[in-house]
Amino acid sequence: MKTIYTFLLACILSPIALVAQQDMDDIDFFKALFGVDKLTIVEDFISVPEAKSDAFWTTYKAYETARKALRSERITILRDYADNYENLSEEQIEDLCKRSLKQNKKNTKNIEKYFKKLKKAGGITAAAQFLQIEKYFLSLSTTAIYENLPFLGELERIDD
Amino acid sequence: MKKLYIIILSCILAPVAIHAQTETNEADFFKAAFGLNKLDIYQNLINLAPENSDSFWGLFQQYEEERLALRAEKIILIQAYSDNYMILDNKDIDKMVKTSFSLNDKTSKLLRKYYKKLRKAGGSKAAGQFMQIETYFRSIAKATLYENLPLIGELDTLE
Repeated sequence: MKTIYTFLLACILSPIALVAQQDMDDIDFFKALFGVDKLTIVEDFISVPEAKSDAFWTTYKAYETARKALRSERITILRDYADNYENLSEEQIEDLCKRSLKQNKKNTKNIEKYFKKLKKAGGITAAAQFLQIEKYFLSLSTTAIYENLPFLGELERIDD
Repeated sequence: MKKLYIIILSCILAPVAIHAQTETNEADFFKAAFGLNKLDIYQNLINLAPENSDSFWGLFQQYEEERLALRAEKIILIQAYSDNYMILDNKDIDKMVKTSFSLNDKTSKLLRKYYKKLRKAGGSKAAGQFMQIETYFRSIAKATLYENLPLIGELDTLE
């Protein structure tokens, strides 16, 4: 039965999964998926009034710096999991889950903080466009990661 | 250029997007995508000691009830946005974003709350498996939602 799910999920997400295999580098992820870097895509989608452009994009770059720092933390958690998932104790699983939940919370707070800053810098429409695109990219990246992450306890199932 | 991205994104997510178009009823989404309801999928994937099964799945059902109530609020917001995005003023957008932040916050808190409860009921491994599957399905749902949602101000750009 589990094979059917895995197969269905693989069919649905296979194009993303192909890209996600080289997802550890953020730049590669966007280049492989869209052929250009993230900033080029975002600049094309977000309409900022000319007078506010400099302030908006400077704030956006500050957001990217903060996001990438958080992304590094996330990758550390994922690596800790992927390298050890076959032998994790209950305590280690608990620790990883807690770190992951905490990290998600930080990401959410970071987006909300920068939404406010971007609203001040470029107006509500540009800030809301940022939010829509950013959430879309984050959900794509989360999907790709979970698609490729070994499932907790999956080896025990195969042994059964 | 924008059209090119949209074409690429559509190709990537096309199979998921097909389901997403009928996704107002979540049960239909799971049936269409996997041929089963959500509970059956989770019960098949999560390992539980038999003695913990009743309390774990009882809590899971409670989680689902609370999550579906929040989901209903989200659908109202998305519907209001989709119906009016061409005529929204700054105040409307600001209000919708705040509602969206608040709903996301509630959904994340709910997940954290039930992760703890499920861990007590079924152990760290079962609760961790729940987290993995739930986060995965949530990310698919979000990606398909944003894929199908019109971009704020996109008509202004076309003009």
